[in-house]
Amino acid sequence: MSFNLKNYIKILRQRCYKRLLFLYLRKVKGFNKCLQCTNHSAIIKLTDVQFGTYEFVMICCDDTLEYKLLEMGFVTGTEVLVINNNGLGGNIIIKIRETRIALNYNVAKRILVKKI
Amino acid sequence: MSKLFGQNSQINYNKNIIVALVGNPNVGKSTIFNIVTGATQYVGNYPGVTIDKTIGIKKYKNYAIHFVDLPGIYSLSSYTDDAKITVNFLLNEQVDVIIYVIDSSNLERNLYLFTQIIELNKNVIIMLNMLDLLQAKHKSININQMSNILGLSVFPIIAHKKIGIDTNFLKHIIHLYNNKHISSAKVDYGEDIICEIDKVYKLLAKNKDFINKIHKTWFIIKLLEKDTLAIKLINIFQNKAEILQQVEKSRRHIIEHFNTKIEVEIANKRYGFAKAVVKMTINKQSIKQIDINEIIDDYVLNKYCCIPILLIIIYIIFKFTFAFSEPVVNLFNLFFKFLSFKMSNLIQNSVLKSLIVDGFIGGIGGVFSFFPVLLFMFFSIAFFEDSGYMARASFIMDKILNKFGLTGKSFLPLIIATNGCAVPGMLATRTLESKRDRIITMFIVPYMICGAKIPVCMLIIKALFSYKYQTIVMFCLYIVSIIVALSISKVLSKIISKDYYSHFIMELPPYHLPKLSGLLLKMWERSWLYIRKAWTIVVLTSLFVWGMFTFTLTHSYHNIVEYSIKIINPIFKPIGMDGNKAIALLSGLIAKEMVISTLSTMYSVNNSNKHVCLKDKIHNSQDWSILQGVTFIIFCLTYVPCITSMLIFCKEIEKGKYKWFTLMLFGNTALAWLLSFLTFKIGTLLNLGT
Repeated sequence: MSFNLKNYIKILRQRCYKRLLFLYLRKVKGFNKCLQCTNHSAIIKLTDVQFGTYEFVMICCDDTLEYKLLEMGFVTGTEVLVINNNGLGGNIIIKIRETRIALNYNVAKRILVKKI
Repeated sequence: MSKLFGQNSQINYNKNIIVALVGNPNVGKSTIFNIVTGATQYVGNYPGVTIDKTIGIKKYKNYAIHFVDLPGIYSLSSYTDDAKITVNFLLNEQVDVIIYVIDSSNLERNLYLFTQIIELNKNVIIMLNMLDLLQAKHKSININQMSNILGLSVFPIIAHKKIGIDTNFLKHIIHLYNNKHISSAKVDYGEDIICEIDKVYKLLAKNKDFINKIHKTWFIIKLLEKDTLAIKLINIFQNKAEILQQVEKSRRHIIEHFNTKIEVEIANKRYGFAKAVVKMTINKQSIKQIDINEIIDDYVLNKYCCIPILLIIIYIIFKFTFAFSEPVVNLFNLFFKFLSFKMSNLIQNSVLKSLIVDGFIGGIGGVFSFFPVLLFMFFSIAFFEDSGYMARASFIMDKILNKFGLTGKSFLPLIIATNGCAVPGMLATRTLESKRDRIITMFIVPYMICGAKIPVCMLIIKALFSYKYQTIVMFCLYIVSIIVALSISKVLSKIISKDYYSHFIMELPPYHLPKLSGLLLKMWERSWLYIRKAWTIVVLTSLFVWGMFTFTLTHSYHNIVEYSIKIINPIFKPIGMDGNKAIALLSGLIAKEMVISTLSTMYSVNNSNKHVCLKDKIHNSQDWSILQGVTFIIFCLTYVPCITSMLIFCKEIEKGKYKWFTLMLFGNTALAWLLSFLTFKIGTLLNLGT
């Protein structure tokens, strides 16, 4: 019994550690930091960006969503202004072609943008 | 063939002009529609598809101009249901003139749809709306230039201030009706795509009678995009296989050439056209100004503030509804009491008196007693909807509802059904894109405490609980209904599809103060759905129930009611319900309003003392303990929804409706029975409220 409990605690601690490490890495060595440090125009996910203007590159998803976004104006090379990435559960608001559009996390993580 | 391009429509086309209002969502089509048709003629709905296509008639110079208000779309494809309505109307009906409404503060995206509209080869008029918003952004638009480029007449207007909408454009519509004029503007798709289009056209041209009716470029592009609607049209062709083969070939060719899909390439070209037009017509002054919308959104959509603000607004909606509707409800009740008193004095014949007073006035009175609640609820929802907050609310709720297998857009239907009515709630699900989300949302919408269930809950709570606890119990019932609804949606979402991620894409409209006329219209539209149901079904069935009770109970002992009670008694016995309650619940199958009126009819027929009100009768009755009352309410909240919402549910689902219908009918009953069984047994064991 005691062995089992110890084991559990060990696994739990490992999990916590992994998660903390992951968060730390994302914070320090994330794409954004990379961008800020080197001014390198890399392609990043929309969920990882901060406030600012970006260029839409592409979207990796199924057809229905792709067409839906196409008719909203997501064409390669379009300017995307990220207004608010502080929404509940990673939902973000962007401005594209003079329209403010709300996207949820599931959509935003499939959109790739490039820093101008 | 004639079915697809049919002339079988409800409108009488002789000497009439059909004008369709088309545009992106939220550009002010309906505002223009209301101003133009105004109070002149009826604003009627098409049968079947109730709230989506609205027609109004304006008479001008011996011409009857039929304006058709269509749901807003982003492109002419058939992905969502409301887009399908618009596309079908534009393709299948004989539209004479299209009024294309443009939100000029968002010209580029609006012109994208325009490129598809001109490919339909129809008369088009452009209405540039919201010029004041453009001015607020320090931009100006060269209207002559735009008119020249697009080869159409452009009318600058500000719809919500009624500026610019005069007889000029009516004259122009009539002019266009007599002399057809098609826009000279064309999107340049590039040599490769045009070459592929020509190849497909050659194959299509073999069907001669068909080719005259088709809008060449648009249709072939849709075919190349493999749009379901276009593929369906092609099915009747003789050389169908050949065409599809060519389409496949062309698609492959374009992917090889451009390294992208044809859809992307075409959208690219169309947006290129739109961008060029914008560049040529709009003069920008680069002044950086503060956008008030962004400031409000910073607070409303903040990670920490959003939920409290949402809760406050829901509280305001509920408070407003109940505070304002209570005096009106009392007034209605007084009026019906007065009416029945007058009637009973007027009429001598006892059967006729009973028919009119108990059956007719009682039935209508029962329906109208909570109608004000519905009205005020719809009014306050319309207020927040028009102000632009509801779009934000669904955005906030998206993450939370996602956990239960729904999307943020399910929020509006659910809140319409709470205190409102399930029928407009189900119709409001049309804005949901995915079929799966729509089915789940429509399935759980009837679980909310709708306007018809409120009186049932209120009556029993008021009869059984002391004044102190009434509000808390009511609040708990709301919570229970939400929990049940969400857990059902969770289960359903697990059953329907497992590997699914929800997309939530929503345009956030700018905030503005709603106009009263618009609010009243929206309120009326939704309430009308309820009233129509009430008149036809509820009044008839209340008359039927009245007839059954008066004629059978007085004449013979072993009547239908007693017999049916005997049959259903074993089912209802374990959940602590006697025959009377069971009958009341059975009548609630037709409509939840019937539960109360059936109870009152039964008690007034059985009881010798006719002047005691139903509340006191329940309060004094031996059959109603607190536990039994709660069980009754829980059963009432969760069992089969009323017949109208079930019919609407079946109508809205196209595929597998019988499966869903059966699930709704038996699954809900089983669930309700189980829940009330648990409540009753646990309550009895713990000796609560017996």
